Amino acid sequence: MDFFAHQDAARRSSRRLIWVMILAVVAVIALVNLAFLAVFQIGPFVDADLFGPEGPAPQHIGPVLAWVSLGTLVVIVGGGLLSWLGLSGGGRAVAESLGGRELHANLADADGRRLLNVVEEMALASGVPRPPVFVIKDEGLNAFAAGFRPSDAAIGVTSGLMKLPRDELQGVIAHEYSHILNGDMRLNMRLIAAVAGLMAVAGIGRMVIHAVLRGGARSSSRDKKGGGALPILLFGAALFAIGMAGWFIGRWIQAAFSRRREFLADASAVQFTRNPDGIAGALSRIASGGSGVTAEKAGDVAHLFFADAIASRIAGMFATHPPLAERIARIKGLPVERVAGGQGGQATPGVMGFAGGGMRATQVVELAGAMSPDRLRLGAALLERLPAELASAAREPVSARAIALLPLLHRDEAACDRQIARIHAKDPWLAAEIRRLQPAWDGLDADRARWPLIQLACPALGALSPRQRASHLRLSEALALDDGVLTMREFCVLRMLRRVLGEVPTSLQRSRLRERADDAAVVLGALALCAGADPAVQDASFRAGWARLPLPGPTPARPPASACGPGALGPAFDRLCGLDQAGLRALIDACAHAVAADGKVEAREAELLRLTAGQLGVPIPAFADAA
Amino acid sequence: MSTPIIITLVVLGVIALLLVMWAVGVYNNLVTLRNRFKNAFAQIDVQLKRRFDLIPNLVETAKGYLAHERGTLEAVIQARNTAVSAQAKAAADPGDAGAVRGLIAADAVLTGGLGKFFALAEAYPQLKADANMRQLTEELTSTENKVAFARQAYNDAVMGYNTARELFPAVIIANFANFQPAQLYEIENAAERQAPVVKF
Repeated sequence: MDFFAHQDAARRSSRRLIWVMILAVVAVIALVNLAFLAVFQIGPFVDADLFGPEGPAPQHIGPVLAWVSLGTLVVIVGGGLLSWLGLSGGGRAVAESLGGRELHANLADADGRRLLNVVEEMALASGVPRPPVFVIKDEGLNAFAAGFRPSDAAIGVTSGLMKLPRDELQGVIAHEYSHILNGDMRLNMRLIAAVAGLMAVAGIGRMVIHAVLRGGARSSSRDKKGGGALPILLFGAALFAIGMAGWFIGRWIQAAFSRRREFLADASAVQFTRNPDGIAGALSRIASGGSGVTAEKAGDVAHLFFADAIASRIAGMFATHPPLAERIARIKGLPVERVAGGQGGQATPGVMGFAGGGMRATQVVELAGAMSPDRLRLGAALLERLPAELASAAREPVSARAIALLPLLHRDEAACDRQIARIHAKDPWLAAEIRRLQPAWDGLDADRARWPLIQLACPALGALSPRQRASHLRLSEALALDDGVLTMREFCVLRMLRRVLGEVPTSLQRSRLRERADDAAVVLGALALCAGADPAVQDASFRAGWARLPLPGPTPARPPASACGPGALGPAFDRLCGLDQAGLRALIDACAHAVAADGKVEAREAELLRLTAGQLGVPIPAFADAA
Repeated sequence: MSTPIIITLVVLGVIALLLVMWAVGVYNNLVTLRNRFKNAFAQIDVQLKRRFDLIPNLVETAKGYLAHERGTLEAVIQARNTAVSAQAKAAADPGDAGAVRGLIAADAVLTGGLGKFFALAEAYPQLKADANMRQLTEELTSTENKVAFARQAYNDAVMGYNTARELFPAVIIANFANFQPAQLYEIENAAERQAPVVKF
């Protein structure tokens, strides 16, 4: 399975979850109605006013039960929505609500530095921007990945976990990274909201009990006719019980959906690191040391974690994670070499072949979100080779702004000087910092080192305040437009920056490639314009790309340049983000062929391709270098 | 019990629950914002620490040239040490407005002392030419800029928290749960607002 297939599988089970959840909600509503009938109609509390002495009159029951059902539905949906609102801030919001403190690279101690190195290596290996890392003060050993898509993911670890040996730490982080790459996080976020909604019914039951017990104690002395309170108390108790039952159902669903993904993540971690001992070691430590996390909210998000965060008394059925012993046994039983030749491994030989000069365009899709031991080593090597001044600047929020501006500087010296003068007018120190870093930046390999550096700088930019972000964005836009021309590259860099600086993309409308053929033509047309000045070359590039799309009919004429401008390209990218995975895969493949009309992707072309894929939410790592 | 009463009870119950859930949401939001400004303080803290670490070196370098200006040098070291202990106190809990105010005051005294030091150094061309001194001054300027930038981010975060805290009806929950207002990191007067470093 490749990146797209994994994402697709996760999405399908995410959709299945919705149906199961609807069933659970219907069951809870039916139970509430039953409890209501049981309390008010059967037994000693038959209410003469409500149903009359002869038993229930149907014309009364109908509306009452309708109201009860509606009320229950409002509570469940309301509880779920409130929880969803809290989650809509992405992985960062979840980590913060668990009391996590962001681990900034420039503040980290030795343990923190090591953890960030492990995460950075994986980010560089897979092409996913390095997610912010949050630390939860807790001696238990645990970790989680949260977010909706790779670009807004966050990784959380307990402070206890940070002290693990490096290979075990790497195993755990690889496990979390596979959740990001396999698209499990979106499913997990939905689970949180769903369980919170079911839980709300229990909340209202508890409130009714409290209200009646308190009100009853106050009124009983002066009001002898307090007979109405008992049924309400009973109904409250029933609500509470039903809510708890709903919660249990929710937890069970949570468990059923997440356990399978946990085994997959364990297997992926072994595949990424080719080291079953790392993750197995961490799991055995958890078996002896415990993985409990005490943050109040941990229960709601239990399935996010690496191991069971809340001790479940009824083990097995409700455990969000499979038993540790079973996980360890499965990991030990994995045929390491064969597994390692799976997802990432397939791409590896071709990728390694790149050393010769240009990788074949057909291999690009296999590279998306690919991760393998070789790539991991490559990530570590990239990290090591980065000039120290650039690496340390990328980790400091103030100077990370300079790193993020460097890709927008023109190659032409006079134009570049004009841009820097513009920066100087706004912030002299920033201009000086750019001048300081420029020589080292110019010395970097455009494809293999510049891109990873920008990826490293992204989390530091997250430390900017909203005002600082807005002002940085304005400055970046002014720089890109300084020469009056917005190139495809500049356009993509700006859009990426906007996303990094927290602009949440609009909600996606799911679609198939067939329905988005026009948008695909705009993207391929824009890429064709980058192929060269000669219209014949541009036409050839467009045709090469279009030929890879599984669309019927003849190749359309290349859209004119005016139809591929920023005004058309932006919305086209937005709509294409909603493509199904098969369509996305075909489109990335088409882009690769449009960019590399001669079938080979050169470094400069690779950068453009990576930026384009980034717009569609597909991470393409830096191409491997055999060195 | 009649039907309308039950319907009213159900509706009231739902409203009450939504209210409770809203309150929990407000509380969680305040906690998040508080964490955010505390985290932002860590960025000031690390830059201040760098700044404070540079100062003894600076004074050590200057000692050889400014043998007769012992008083000024000692005042700078004194102010630096006071600021270091104020910093430790504020870093322990950036939510403690008093501690942050203490740090701001100590920082202002140090900045004033450094201003005097650099004004003095103007009169010693040899000191200005010292390679070590030039490098330290450059680092101090750069750190000063980083402090200013981190301070801005912190103040934005504090403002976000304080505003959320004071808004009605969130203020009821904020007071009930004892969310204290946070202290902005502001530089008091215009003279001290200038970076203390004189150009060499």
